[in-house]
Amino acid sequence: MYLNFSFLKTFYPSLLQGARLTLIISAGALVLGFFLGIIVALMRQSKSKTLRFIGSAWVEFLRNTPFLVQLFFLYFGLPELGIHTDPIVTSILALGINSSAPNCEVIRSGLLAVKKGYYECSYALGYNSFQTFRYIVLPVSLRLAFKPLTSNFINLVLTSSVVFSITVNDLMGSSKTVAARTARPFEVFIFIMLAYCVFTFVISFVAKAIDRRISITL
Amino acid sequence: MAMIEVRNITKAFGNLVVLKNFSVDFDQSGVTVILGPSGTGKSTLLRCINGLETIDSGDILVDGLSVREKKNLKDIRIKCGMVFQQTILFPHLDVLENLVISPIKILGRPRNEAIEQAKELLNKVGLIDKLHSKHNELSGGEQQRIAIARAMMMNPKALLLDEITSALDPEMSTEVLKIIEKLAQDGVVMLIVTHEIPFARRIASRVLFLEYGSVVSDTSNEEFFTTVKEDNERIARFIQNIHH
Repeated sequence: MYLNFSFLKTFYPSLLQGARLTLIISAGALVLGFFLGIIVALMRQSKSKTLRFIGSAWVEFLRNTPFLVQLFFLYFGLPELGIHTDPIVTSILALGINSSAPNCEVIRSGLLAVKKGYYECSYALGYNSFQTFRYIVLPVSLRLAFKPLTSNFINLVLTSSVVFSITVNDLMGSSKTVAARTARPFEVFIFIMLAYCVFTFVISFVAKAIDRRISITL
Repeated sequence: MAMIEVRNITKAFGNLVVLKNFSVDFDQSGVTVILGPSGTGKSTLLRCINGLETIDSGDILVDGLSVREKKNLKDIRIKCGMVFQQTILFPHLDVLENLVISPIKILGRPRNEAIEQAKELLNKVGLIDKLHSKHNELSGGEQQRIAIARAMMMNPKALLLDEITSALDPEMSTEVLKIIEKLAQDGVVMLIVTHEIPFARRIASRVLFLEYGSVVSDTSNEEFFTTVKEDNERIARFIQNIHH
């Protein structure tokens, strides 16, 4: 057996297009998952029992159902509700919602690490509760949560490979097509695995550089 | 009219009554040192004035504003800057940003003006060279001096200082106390809870001695450290114990 990567010459535009789509979907889901994560973390920290319950139920539900099922539920379920979105938007929604659960837990642990003294110190300077959260508590807790948020993001990029199953031609989707057309699945998937490795390696590298700049100790 | 009027307040934590029908006035000038054994309500008094603790009954008026009204709390806290025993600098900000963020965000002051004032205050506390340092690059004494400067950035009418040297070693304490003396000489009104008797003697214009949530003695500095100390056995014993 010999390895033949000559398919890259012919099919690199479609693979590049797939990689671009993977990046777009991951970035969109990252933003959605991040903000949803903050909202759900705040709900879980809320004084209201109802909000705490909704927050916990949200996290537990997402953690205890397979992502593929969540994706199919949105892809096939939303049109039933009269909401028609294209597969890419559905992918962003599904991944964003799914990643909000681990993001919530990480952000919540960051929020819990900010001790009472920081709140009191801000109140004593004249900050109200919102200003304390906005200017002191959130920036501190996000810095504390940055590293684990990065690994959540890496997971999100890797999980995004599932969205090919709702017809999205992301990196995984386009590679499946290339594999079928070239009859070289072994080489194609070696290449795709390497491509995902490069993605996550670059993300880790950039995240470490950012972390060095923003990391704090309490 | 007194700047701070404490009117017959009671504050309890569960069954423990810390301040009991407590009344006292603080004028618009001078340095009041609050002395007394631990657990006697000194820190609680400062925290009640600043609205960090709610009072069970009575009222506290700061410049005529009641701490019982939630809407007054911001103004009261701006008027009464507070520095705590445990220094907390905002860890995501350097020294300069720690100083300027509050006047900019809370008072809406222009950034340039805030920076100028921050530099002046850092000069005053002898830390102008630490402008861009982070909290973990500063000693405890330096952090406490920055915390004092940060409170001064809000141009408060009074400073409430709650055992600000008790977590520091003697050398660092001295650094901080020098700054307080300097501020007192500049006419900053201060309410100081401390166990540093020599410092209290040097700086106080008025001394309050508290025990079991009530005022045992409220006199001028001279009177406290001469007459009262001689006449009141409890106070004499307290001062002696602190010294040893």
